[in-house]
Amino acid sequence: MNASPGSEGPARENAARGPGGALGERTPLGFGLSGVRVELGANEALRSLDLRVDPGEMVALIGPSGAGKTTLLRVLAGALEPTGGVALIDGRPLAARSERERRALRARIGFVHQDHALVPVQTALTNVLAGRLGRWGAVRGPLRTLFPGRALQEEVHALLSRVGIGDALFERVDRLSGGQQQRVAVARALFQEPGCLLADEPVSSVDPARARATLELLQAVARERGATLVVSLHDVGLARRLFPRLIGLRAGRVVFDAAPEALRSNEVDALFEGANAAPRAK
Amino acid sequence: MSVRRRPLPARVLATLGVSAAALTAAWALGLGPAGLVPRAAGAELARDLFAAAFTPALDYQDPPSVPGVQPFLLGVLGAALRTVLFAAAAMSLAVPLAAPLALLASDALWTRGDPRSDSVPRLARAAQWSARLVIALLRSVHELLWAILFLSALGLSPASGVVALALPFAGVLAKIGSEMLDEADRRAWHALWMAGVPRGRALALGLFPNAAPDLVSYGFYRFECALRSAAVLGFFGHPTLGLYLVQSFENLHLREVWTYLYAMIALALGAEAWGAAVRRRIGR
Repeated sequence: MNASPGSEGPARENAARGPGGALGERTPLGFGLSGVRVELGANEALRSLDLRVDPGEMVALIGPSGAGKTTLLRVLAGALEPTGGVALIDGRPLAARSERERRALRARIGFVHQDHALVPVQTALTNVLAGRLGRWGAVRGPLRTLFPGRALQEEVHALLSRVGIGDALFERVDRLSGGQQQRVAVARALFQEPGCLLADEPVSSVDPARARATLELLQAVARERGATLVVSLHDVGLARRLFPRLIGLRAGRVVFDAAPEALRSNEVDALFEGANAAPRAK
Repeated sequence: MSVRRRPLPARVLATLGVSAAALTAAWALGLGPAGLVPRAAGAELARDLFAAAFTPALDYQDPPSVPGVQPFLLGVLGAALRTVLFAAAAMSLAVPLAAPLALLASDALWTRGDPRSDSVPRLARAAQWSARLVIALLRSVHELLWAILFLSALGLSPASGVVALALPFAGVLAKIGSEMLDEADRRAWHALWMAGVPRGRALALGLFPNAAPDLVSYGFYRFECALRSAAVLGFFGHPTLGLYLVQSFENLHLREVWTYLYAMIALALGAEAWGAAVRRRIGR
């Protein structure tokens, strides 16, 4: 049995060791949200949300469509400033950082987008290499991305092999299946060597066996690096089996925040009750 | 149950308005079927012209008596080659001129690709609209009018012809190019921005590749247009296909006219085939 691989022990240890480079860009980061509100147009996506995620923690966000999972992840990623409340990312709110500091912060956060957000006309290799553009220089970055040397090609190949699509290295992304594209997107986020991995429904377009393998891979990589991992999931069963901490979101609020053992099934049912999406289907 | 009657839809009104405009224009110009019936001499010329289509000239119809004139077909080839050179020179001037204008005029340069919260800052708006104004000025004057202007200013030099072509082409390329940049898929660009990539690099590697196939494809189409325009520049004396076509027509060497026309068609088809081959390669 896979006894909750993210159980806090090893992750915390890694976090304490702090495997970051000289710039500290690889040190894991944590989040502290209090009273966070986000209005998107007339829609209130998050309402007075409190949440604390420690560096190196592994968390699954669950909830029906429209619960605010993507919005919350975008706030954590520093891509969206809350309308109200305070969102501390690595100890400081976004508003307290200069544009340059915000970029440096975002370069430390890997994000797997639900729609993959790849460049379809480019190869898997180029797409994955682009993950490190935030840390490479203005000239060196594009050059390395478009004309990678042997060492970089091998590094990307190893990474793609790890997500199960090593053969796709020189394949154009629009020639790959949805599941393969999703894995390219995961590889790009991993290649970024982030201190925190945020994944928005990273397994919505792959079969259950592959979904489990991909999530375990995200966890393994996060554990190796001591990185924080926050994943939004539709599949409650999978979340319960794999994650040591589950956060239930509904209508922009945290409904529960507990270890899977402590979670009663009626709490989960209540989360999805009346929502038009069935808990496990998408 | 009765369906509520809707007021006369705007579409019907628009159709009526356009029809009325068309009829007014026809009346003002005195258009009528009579204008399509050729006069006797005209009918004869038309008949001769179309008959000549099947027997394009392979040699001068009225061979020059002076020795040392190059063979006819070699002359056609030279004119075709110069037409291509004019078009290529004009395009290679127009593209670098259009690229910065297209970027400045686009929304893409000024926003960060977030579909949820995108607005162009006020100062950027000013730059954007100045670029759009320049583009409008460039393309609102037809290349033949630019040609007349430069002909009187610079004389009959290749440069005056090339610049006359390049300016309006830069305008059109910039307008369409900026629209293509704005219509391209922005998700990868936004993803790079979210990964801490500065705006310029995110744009260059996340957005531009998505627009590139359309841009290349459109560039080839414009090259084809440049070929036609370069040929027509011959009417003003530039040594492209149009010059010889007019001369042959004025001498009523109708079979020669067709040789030049076929050369023109061959150029256009060649450009089209080249463009299609490139489009296939880049998957568009």
